[in-house]
Amino acid sequence: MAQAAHRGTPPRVIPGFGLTLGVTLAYLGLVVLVPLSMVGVEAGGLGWAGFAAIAAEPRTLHALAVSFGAAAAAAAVNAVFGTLLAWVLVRYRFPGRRIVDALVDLPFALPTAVAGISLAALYAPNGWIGGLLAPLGVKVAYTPLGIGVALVFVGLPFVVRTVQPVLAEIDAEVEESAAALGATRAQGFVRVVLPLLAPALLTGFTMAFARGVGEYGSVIFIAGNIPMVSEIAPLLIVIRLEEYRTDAAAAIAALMLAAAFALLLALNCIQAWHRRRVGAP
Amino acid sequence: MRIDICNLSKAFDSAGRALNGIDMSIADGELVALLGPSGSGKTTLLRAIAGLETPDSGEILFDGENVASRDVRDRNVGFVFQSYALFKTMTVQENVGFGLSVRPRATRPPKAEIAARARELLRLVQLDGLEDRTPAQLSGGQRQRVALARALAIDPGVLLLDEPFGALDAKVRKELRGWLRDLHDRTGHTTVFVTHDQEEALELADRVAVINRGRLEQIATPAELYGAPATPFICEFLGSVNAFDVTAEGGRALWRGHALPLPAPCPAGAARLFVRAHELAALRPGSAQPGIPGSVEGVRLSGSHVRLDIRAAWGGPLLEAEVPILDFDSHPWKRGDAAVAAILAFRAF
Repeated sequence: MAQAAHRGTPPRVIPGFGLTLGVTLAYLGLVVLVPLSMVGVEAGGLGWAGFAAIAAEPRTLHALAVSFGAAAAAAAVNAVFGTLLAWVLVRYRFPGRRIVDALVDLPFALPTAVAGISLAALYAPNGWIGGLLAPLGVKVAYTPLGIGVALVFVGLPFVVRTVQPVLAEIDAEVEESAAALGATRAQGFVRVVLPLLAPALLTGFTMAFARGVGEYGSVIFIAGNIPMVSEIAPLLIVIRLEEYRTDAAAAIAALMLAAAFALLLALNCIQAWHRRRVGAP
Repeated sequence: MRIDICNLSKAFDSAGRALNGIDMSIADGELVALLGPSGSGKTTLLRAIAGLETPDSGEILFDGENVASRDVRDRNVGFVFQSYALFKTMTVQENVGFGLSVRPRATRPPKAEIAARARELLRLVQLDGLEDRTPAQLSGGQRQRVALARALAIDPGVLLLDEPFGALDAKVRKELRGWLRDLHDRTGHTTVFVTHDQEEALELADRVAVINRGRLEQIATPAELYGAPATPFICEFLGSVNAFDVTAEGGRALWRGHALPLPAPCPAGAARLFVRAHELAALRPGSAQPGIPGSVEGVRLSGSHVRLDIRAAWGGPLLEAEVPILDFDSHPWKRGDAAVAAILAFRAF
């Protein structure tokens, strides 16, 4: 009977393909796609002309530029220092290593508003760090630089946690082999280790970046939220909503979505290409 | 290049293995195997020669110059790792050219020359045409040869190979073995390789160094090693061997209360006699030659000969005797047959 039911399609060894795929698609649709498509529906109420007008508004463009720019800069900073941190955690054994390891996850767990308030207090001109920087003429709080600082904070674990396991996987023999061939430590790292880390590093960068683009809570306290200076796109969306301009908010959201999706897709394509080239990740 | 190792010691490396006063010399152009059971320290010794492990004391001389404290980067050794340790993100050609491309600007050949050298080496290891593949697209045997070409590219003074055929299947292993010997004879590099496979060591190497528990037991040609083993360990380690714990008494050897029928007088003071399986003849009862009476407990075919497990009537462990397959075919043995095990030759320690 069971065989008759399977006539036409060969039976699979791994069971439940139809069921699991069905649930996956339904879940993804319900949780991700339907809410996101509402953005399109809302924005669609504006018509093309209305949408274009909002998209071309200098304040919108500036907010988008600040959000994407600060997120990219913060993710880049995290890519460098997150890799360094992962390196230290993987390669060396020192007292307190586990504590450092646990500290890395704190930005995941802390309510972002708490992080934002403490950062704002620290970097304000009369704060501990802000006070030190003020005589040097460096202003962090209430500038785009402050947004970057907040995004570095929330993005750090993404880079460390993606790079760390890959770094641990790299065979010490690969580095020894580079050394035996005469490569200096720097050459060994740049030409041998870094290319192996590249996919994980890119994933970490992408995740930190994506998180940074959408980050709200930790940013708004330190940013100062000055239109055309330090106003981020998510905040602008909230402002529009408070003005009961749902369609305008949706239009900005749609722009963010499109840009974020294009960037993530591009990064994913680079990774797929790398994986094909190198073989198993 | 000639290598002299003097009193080299290391009290436990990262893997918990030690080296204990190793002394040996390797002549220029020689092919030497480091043979030993796993955990014996043979890989540690190889890594110490390369500069990947730092010994606690002793000297390593390359052509008379002590390099024991010299960094691996400055030793100019070609090292082939057991895992091959190829650079996955580079093509085969880039892998082979790596050693030349990381040289300081003053001594680095131009790009075109590096590429030409890499292609030449790939021809030498019979991988021409695969220059643009990545290591992931190669078979195990091909990866092994890329690793070898990469090590040869820097024109090393010595070529060091760690279990070079360890990860390959039996057939490829045999093929590569002959091929490596051939390559060695053509390029003339002083070569040291580590193996736990005695057949590989005896077949391939000019001389074999047997390492056990961090000590050098003996370094000798395969024929000497097999014919005149210096220590009981080598006797037991090479081939299948029967060991008799005896008391020597006026040229006789008493084993389990009986005098062992030996082809020659037992040297005074001997405590242990070793008889290889092919030196123990299985005879039918009633034959003229004296031997140890017993019965056949197992018959195992092993390629060109048959191994008989003989239970001696005097007790003790099972004795192993080898019978050439042609003799076996004309006079087959089966389980339960009465047999006399006659000792044709022995070594006493």
